[in-house]
Amino acid sequence: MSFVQRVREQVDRHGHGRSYTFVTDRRGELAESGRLTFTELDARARSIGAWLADRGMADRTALLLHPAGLEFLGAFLGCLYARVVAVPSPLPQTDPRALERAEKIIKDAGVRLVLTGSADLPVLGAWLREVGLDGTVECVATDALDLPDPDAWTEPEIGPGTLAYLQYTSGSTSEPRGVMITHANLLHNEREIWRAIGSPREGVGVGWLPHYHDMGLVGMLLQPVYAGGDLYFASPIAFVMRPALWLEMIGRYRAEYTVAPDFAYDWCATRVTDAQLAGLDLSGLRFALNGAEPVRTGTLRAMVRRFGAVGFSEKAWAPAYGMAEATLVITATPLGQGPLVRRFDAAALERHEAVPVTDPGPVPRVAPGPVPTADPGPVLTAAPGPVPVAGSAPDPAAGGERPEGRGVELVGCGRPISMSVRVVDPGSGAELPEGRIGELWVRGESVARGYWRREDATRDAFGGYTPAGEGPFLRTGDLGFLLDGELYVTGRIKDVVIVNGRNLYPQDLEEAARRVHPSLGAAAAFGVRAGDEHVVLVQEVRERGLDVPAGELARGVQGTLAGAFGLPSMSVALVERGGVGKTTSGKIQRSRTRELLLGGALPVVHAEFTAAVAARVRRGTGVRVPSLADARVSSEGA
Amino acid sequence: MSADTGAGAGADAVRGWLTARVASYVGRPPGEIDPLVPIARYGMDSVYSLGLCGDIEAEYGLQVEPTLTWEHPTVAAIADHLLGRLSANR
Repeated sequence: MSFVQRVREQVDRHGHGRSYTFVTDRRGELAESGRLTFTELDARARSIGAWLADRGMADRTALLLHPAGLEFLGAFLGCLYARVVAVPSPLPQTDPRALERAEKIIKDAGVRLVLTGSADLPVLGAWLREVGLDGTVECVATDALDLPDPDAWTEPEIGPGTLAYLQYTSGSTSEPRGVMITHANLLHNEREIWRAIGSPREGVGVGWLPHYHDMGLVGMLLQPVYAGGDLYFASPIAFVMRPALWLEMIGRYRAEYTVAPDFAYDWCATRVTDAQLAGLDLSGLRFALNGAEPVRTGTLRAMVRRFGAVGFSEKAWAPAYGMAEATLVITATPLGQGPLVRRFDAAALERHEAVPVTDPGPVPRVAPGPVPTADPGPVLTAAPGPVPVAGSAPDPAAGGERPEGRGVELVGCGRPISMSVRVVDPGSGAELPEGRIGELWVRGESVARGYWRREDATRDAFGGYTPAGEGPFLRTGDLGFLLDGELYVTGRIKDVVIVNGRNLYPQDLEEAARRVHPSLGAAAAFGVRAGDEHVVLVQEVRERGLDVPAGELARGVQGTLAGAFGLPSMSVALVERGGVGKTTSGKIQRSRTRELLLGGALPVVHAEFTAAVAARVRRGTGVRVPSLADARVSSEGA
Repeated sequence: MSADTGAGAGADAVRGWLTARVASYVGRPPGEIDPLVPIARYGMDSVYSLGLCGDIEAEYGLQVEPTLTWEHPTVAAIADHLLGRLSANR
C-alpha cells in the first residue's frame, strides 16, 4: 500500500462529498477563497503528476515553495503521484532567512526543480539568479503551467518503502537536515492520528498551521484525505494577525478537531477580544491537540477560563508528543480523556525519579488502560492553590510549573498509540523502570528511514540499541518518564530554545554573538523558563584592552541578537574567561553554564538581565538542575 | 470607531498608540521604546510583528501587508506610513 493508493481509495469513496476549503480573513470577516473536492484534488494531482513524469522527475527531489493554500496540496500530492520526492519549505513571507535556508536545502537535497505559485515566481526567479543557481535550478509556477489532462497520468510503481518526502527539521539554519519519510511512515502516522482523534467517520478539521512543518503537513493537511474528512484551513499569517479567525472557523464549520502548538492557544487566550468572544461557539470541538512544544498548564487553564463560557471544554484538551523523525505523532491523549496534570516531588525529580505528590484535594485523574467511564471531575479547574505566575518560576529542567511548596506540576502527553516508547539511560541504553527519568526512545512504523545523505547523524539518532541488542530505536534526545502508561516529557537533551513556537538553536545565537566584538570569546545560549521561555546568553569577555564599557558591549550583543533573531526578553551576561563550561574536547556545556549562572556561581563582569531572568538568578540556590543532560554532553565530548 | 479615530488621528496619537502596542508585546515600559530605533531591536519577532499588523487593521481599519515592519522598521516609520494612508483615505 502507498499513500497514493490510499488517497485514490478515498477519492473513489467520497468523490465530491468531501473537500478542502481555504479560508481567508477579509477585514475581520471569515471568507472562503477556494475549495477543492477530493475528485478535483485528485485531478489536479494527476495533472501535475503527469507533467512531472513527462519531465523525467521520478525519484528526483522537487522543492515546494508555495504560500499557504490549495495549490500546495495539489503540487505536493502531484509529486507523490509521480514518485517525485517532495521537499516543502517556507517562502520568505515573514522570515527573512527563509531563502537562505531554501538555498541550503537545494544544495543538500540536490534539488533541480522548484515549484511555486505564479505570485511568487518573479521574486524566486530573481533570487535564484542572485545566488547563482539559475543555471542549475528551474523554477515554475504550478498554477500557470499548461498541464496535461489528468488522464495522461499513469500510476508509477510505488511501494511502502518508497520515499514520499523530505521533512527538513526547522533546525539550525547552518545545517538543515532532511528527515526521509516513506509512504509506509506517512500511512502509519496518519492512522495513529486518526485513532487518537477517535477514528471519526466524517471528521471535520480546522487549522492554520504552516504546511512546511511536520505538524501542519501530517497533522493538519494530509489527515483529511487519508481519513476521508473535511478540512477548513487558513494561513498562519491570517491566524497570527487575528487569532479569533481560528476560533470562528471552529464554530462556523462545527470542527471536531484542531491541532496547534501551545503558544497558539496562549495567543488566543490573551488576544481574542471580548467582542470577538461573544460570537464564538466552541462546543463542537472534541479534540484540541497541543503539541510540538512543551505544554504549559498555564495555557491549559487560560483557555478554559477564557473560552469555557463559549463551549471550550477542558476535556477537549489533547496534549501530545512527537517529532519529524517519527513522521509526527508519538503519543497523544485519547479523545475524551482530557489532560492529565499531576504534581511531582521536586527533589525526587532532581534525582531523576518521578514521585507523585499526594494532594489533599481531589485525586488526580489516572487512566490506566481504557478511558474511565465515570467522570472523575475536572482536573484543571480543581487544582488547588494559586495559578502559577511568572514569579513562582517553573522548574526549567522539569519543564513543569512549580507553585511554591506544592511540588512540580507536569502535563502528561498521552500514551503511545501503537508504537513502542522506552525510557532508557542515555549513556548505556538500558531500559529504566516506570517512574524513572531517562531518554525517550521510540520504535515503530512511523519512525523515518533517517536523515537524507547524513549517515553519521542517522546512525546517532536512529540507531539506538539496548544492551540486550534490541533495536534500532529512534533516540529522541528528549528526557521524560512513563507513569501509569502516560508519558511525561521533562526536558531536552538537545538544547533547542523554543520562543513563540520557533526553535532557536544555541549554536546560531552563539556564533552571531561572537562576531559582535573582537574581545568576545566563547558563548553559551540557553533558555530559562520564567513564565515564558527567555533566552539567556553567557559570553566570555577579555577585559584587558577592552575599548568599550562592558555594559555597552552587553547591550550591543543584546541588540544584535534581538534584531537578527527577533528575540524578546533577551538577557546577556558577560563573564570572565573560563566562565562558559566546556568539555575536554571543547564542546560548550550549556546546561552546566546555565546551572552555574542561576546558582550565582559565575564570575559575571556585567549582566543585562530582563526582570524575569534576574528574579531567577537571585533565587539561585535550591534550583538545582538535573545533570543528566550534562552527562550526555560530557560523554559525547569525552 | 476605526474610521473616525483613524482619520482624526494626529502623528503624536498614532506614535503613542504604536509605542504602547510595541511595549506591551515586548514587555517593557512604553518610555523605553525609542520611536527611531528599529522595533526588532526590542525583540519584536515575526509573530509579534504580525500581531501588530492585526492590531493596526482593527484600530485604523487599514489593511496592511505582513511585511509592514520590514519595510517600516521603526515606530516613527510605521506611524508616517499609516498617517499617509489615513490622509489618502480621507
